[in-house]
Amino acid sequence: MNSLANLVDLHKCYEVLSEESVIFSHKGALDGEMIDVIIQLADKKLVKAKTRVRIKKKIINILIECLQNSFHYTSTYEQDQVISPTNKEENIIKDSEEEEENNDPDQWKDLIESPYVILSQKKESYFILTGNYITHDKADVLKKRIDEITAFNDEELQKYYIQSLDKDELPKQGGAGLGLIDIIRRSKHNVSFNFKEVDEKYQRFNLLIKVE
Amino acid sequence: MDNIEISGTSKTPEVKFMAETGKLEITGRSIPENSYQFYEPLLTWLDEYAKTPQENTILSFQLDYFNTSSSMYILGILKKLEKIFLAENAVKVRWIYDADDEDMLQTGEDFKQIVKLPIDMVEIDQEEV
Repeated sequence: MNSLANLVDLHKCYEVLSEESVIFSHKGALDGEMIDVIIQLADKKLVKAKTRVRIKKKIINILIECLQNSFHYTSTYEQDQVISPTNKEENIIKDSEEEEENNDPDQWKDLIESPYVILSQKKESYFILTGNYITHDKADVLKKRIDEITAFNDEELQKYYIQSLDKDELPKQGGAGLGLIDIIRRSKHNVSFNFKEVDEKYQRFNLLIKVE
Repeated sequence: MDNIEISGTSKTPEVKFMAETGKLEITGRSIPENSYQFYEPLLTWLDEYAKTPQENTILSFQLDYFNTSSSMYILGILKKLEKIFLAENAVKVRWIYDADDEDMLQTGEDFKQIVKLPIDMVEIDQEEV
């Protein structure tokens, strides 16, 4: 179910980027160690390409946020997948239909394997294309949120960033949604995104970021 | 009280919190997937230190990369120091950033907006590693 539709779309991504040189690409499930390796690889390749330090730092920072956003999002499903039957009983909010779905150990496999990232260069500009599968309900929430953030001007974005950073409660997992704001700030609003329907369960969220 | 001395890794910074001198340093890279796990012990240590702080407390940050969840915890550390400062103890923060890193400068400025603490912005010219 995953492979063919997904591959066709990935080829499209490569086609879009065909005039540019791809520095690296990755597709598949992410864990902490893999993120570490990807960051080190990107860093080394950018140093080798003699990318200016200012640009390199921006790219690496944005990559970290993109990869960790994907990781945190998909890992919540991975955890769900390994919930034992006894623990499931505690999960009283799930209705019987969802309970039935939970018995399928591979139910989130496509989503967990879906994150991808492509870093490419065209002259003095760098492009980070990234994304992952997202369930329809969460896609609606995310779309609304990105629409809201991307509509801000510099001053409004700065104010919103400070408000989001300055929370009394510190997050126990992830960056409490600060990642997207950070990406938009660092790229100086050079972002575009879309959601593409995959099947009845998922959409694919794609985010393109330009750094120059 | 005990000092905290933690070596840096590819994802977490080197930390030196010296209780008897009031010199605190966080250096390197802070991009853990789980910032809570790394920073919670530092926040707890600062609560203890705040009971009997040194006459002068100096905290130096010198980070090359950090993720957004770390930035929330770094702010948490600064807020602990703000309490010490507002209790009329001398506290100084040095935010050391690379001349080529405009985002790191911006983050330092952001923190300055939020906490009432003397934060010195210290620009250094680092050779590319």
